[in-house]
Amino acid sequence: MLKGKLTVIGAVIVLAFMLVALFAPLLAPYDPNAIDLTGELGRPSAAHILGQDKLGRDILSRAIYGTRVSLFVGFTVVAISVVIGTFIGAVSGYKCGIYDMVIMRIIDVLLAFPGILLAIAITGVLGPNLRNVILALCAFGWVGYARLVRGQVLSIREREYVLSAKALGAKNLYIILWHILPNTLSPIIVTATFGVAGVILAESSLSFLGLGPQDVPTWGAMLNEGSQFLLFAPHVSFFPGIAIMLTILGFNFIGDGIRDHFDPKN
Amino acid sequence: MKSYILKRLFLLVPTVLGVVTLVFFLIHMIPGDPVEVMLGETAQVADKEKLRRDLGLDNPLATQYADFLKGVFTADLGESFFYKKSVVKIIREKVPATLELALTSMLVAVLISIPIGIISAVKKHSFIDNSSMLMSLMGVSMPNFWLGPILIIIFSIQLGIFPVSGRDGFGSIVLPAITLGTALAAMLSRMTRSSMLDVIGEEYLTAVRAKGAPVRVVIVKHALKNAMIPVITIIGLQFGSLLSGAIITENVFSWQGLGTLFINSLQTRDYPLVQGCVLFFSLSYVLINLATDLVYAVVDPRIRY
Repeated sequence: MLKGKLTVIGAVIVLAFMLVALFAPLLAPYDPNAIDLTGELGRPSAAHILGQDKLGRDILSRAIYGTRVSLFVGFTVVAISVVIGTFIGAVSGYKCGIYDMVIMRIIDVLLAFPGILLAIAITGVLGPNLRNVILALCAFGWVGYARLVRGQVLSIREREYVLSAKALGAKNLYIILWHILPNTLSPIIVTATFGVAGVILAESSLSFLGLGPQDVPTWGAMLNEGSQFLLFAPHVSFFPGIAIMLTILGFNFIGDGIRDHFDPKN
Repeated sequence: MKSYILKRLFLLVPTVLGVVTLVFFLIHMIPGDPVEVMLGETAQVADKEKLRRDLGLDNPLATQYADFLKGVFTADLGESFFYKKSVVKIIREKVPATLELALTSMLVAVLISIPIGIISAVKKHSFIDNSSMLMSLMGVSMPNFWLGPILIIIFSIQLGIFPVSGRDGFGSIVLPAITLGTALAAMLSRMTRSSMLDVIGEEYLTAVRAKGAPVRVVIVKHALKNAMIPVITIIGLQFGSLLSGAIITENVFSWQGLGTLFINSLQTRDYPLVQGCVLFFSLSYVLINLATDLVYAVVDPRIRY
């Protein structure tokens, strides 16, 4: 019962953030980069609902524009990772043999890098910008999907309907695309939903460390700037943090709901 | 069992080689001339040549790779050109701080999560269960670079109980450990709950209950033992993640461990040190995961390989 409610709450949160990202120019009361040195670290007021940062920029406007970066990175990285991971995992599981062995060793190596360590190293080395953040997160993002799909394909490839398709002379690509992959969709959807939350957290972490996009406002970078003024202006860090947590929470609620929906035990 | 252990050890070789290779190529991913990136465009030609020689970048790629491999196996990862000291020595100096933080976070997470998980399972769908599930979802969703500053505002600035940052005595580790351990605690409490629920439904517990054993004995003596096996595995597997999670937490609290060293080395473009840190984090992760898998195989008699 509670879980059902949480899924709806999650969907509402995510939808709200998506609308905010889409209509950012209409919703933001100020230009997110407009500097107003007279309002340095200004507290929340009627004119600036969430206050101002060290350069007097409006925190609400920057947080609204930050939504765009987080959601764009979240969806783009997951979409690219799902496509690459599904393709590699499906071929690996279907073909088996030496190809599968090589792919699995590559996956083992990439899984040997904990958390976002590799992303930090790659963006640190290549330079902090949006393209490199996406590249760094995709570099190991596909691995989980490849392993998941491979496992699913291994269990499906010997099923009777696949063997029948083979016996009828269907080509490998056709069998993978039309008979095997549709049956692996539910775990991919669940993993991808949690994946968006993970990518948003990773992007915010990179931005917090100064390794995110530099030319646009991001929640992580806002939090990092605010952390220098915790004593005098805690609001500068507080609101971007709330935005990050709410978005991740929203995707986690939805992920939990979808997982329960697909779980045969329920 | 013996063959499983041997197989796992054998599979470790290509993984370690792959990790080392990837770390080697990290420095070759730098767009343009790595030496120019490190020293800046205005650097003297002689300085550039010296650094190129020191890093071995004037050698053919195969020679550089062979030298790097040799360095890894002889624990010689070159010299940090920022600290002017051996990379291995610098890392060795920072390991205790990171290990201390990771272990304390683990302890905090275990002490909080396991009792909560057990209570949630025993009182399934109660107010306590629902609230703890909600809290654990929030714990997983809370970025530690936000939780850290919030804890600093409350406990350091407002209440003045713990220091804001640094590594000086017991008080200084409390907030970083809570920050780093929260997400793990959230995950472990959910894991403990679901594992306990699986065990509670099994027939041998019904038999124990039918014999008239009190609830406390049923839960603590009979259910907990079996329910803890997957939880312990997760604890082991997550320890490696805690090490990398420490990168951000250390930066929030200016904790002078490997995480802070890693980010500083990226900012100063001290690439030999960057390579050393990435290598240390990933090899520790691989070895911890292997140890967990092996312990799991030994501890759980139901598993046959």
